[in-house]
Amino acid sequence: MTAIALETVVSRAEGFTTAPVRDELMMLNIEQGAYYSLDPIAAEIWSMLERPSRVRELVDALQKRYAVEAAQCEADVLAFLGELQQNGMIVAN
Amino acid sequence: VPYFFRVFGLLLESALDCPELLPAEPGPQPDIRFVYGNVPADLEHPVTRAARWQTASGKFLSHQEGFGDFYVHDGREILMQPHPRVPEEAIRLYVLGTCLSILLHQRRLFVQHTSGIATQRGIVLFGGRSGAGKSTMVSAFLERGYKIVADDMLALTLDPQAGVLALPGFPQVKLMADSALALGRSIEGLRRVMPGHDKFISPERERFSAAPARLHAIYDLSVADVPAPVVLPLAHTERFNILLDHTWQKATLFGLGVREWHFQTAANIASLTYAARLTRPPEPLDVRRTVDLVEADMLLEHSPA
Repeated sequence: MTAIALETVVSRAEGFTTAPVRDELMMLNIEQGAYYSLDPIAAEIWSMLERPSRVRELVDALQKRYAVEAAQCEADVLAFLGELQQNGMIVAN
Repeated sequence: VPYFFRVFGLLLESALDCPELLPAEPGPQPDIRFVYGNVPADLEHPVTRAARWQTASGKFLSHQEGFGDFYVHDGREILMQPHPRVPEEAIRLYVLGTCLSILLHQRRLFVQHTSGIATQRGIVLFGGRSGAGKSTMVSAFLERGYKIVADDMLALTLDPQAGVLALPGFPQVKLMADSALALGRSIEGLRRVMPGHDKFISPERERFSAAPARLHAIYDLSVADVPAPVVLPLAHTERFNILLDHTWQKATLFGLGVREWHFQTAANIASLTYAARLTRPPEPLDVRRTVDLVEADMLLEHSPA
């Protein structure tokens, strides 16, 4: 598995579907039946991944929208993308 | 001569008599059929293969050693080939449980393993593990003048007017002997679910509400070491979780090709429906106190937000 860094381009994996439940986004692995819930910021990152994106661009966009320190934002986004990758929800190119 | 019944708002033509169902006027174009015939050995392109069943898009095939073979297909028909010596009540338990729930999945009706009653606010459902008190709750509400809409199977569908519409199931309640005792009910004269079982069937045709109606609330019943029964509203994602937990035959959803639909529908229903958890102490069940608590909560208006 390719480790995700700031210059990595990540994209959504196939085989997942999402559905909003109030302010959370539920996500289903269609074949395995496992499902997850994404909080609003996680859901926003997922929505940005509609097109393949460089991690640095995701971080920049989030930083503009939320008052968060650059180093903190980078660390949080990388950790979250790492989780998505572990669960097979995204692929790193 | 086939029998006709009305179940989940559908007209059923059946070669098997089902005294647990509500009889209906015969019609030339039934929505669903139970017929006897030769069940195929295999599906052409199975998606999921387990030891005793297989699924493909819109198809479910079941081979139960020493019991019989069943084929549920296209949301229209259950083909039955039971072994000769299997009693009809055993066939009905399987056909009206597993097979019918799968047929409803195929029709994209959202099947819940819940009991339910009709109230002036709409349909109220009770779900939970076996033994949590689903049947006891509806029986207690029957005694208070409410009508039953389901004992353990009910279908939901999204409706432009009603939001979520509940489609009533069978006009009966299945009760364990000890639950009947807690309710002060006699089991004298009641038929057993199966010979030798400690569970009894109480027919409730007179106290059954067959009309589809708006879903008002869902209560998930659980037993824990609490001093007194308590009702707590569930967050929306927990509502979503209980809708999935209460689903019949979850393992077949993927192979039937309806898992994504099921997931999306659960999310819609969770967004539109009030749900709460009723936690009560272990036995002995204080029926009156528990039902008072639920009754007060379920008669509130409850905006889904």
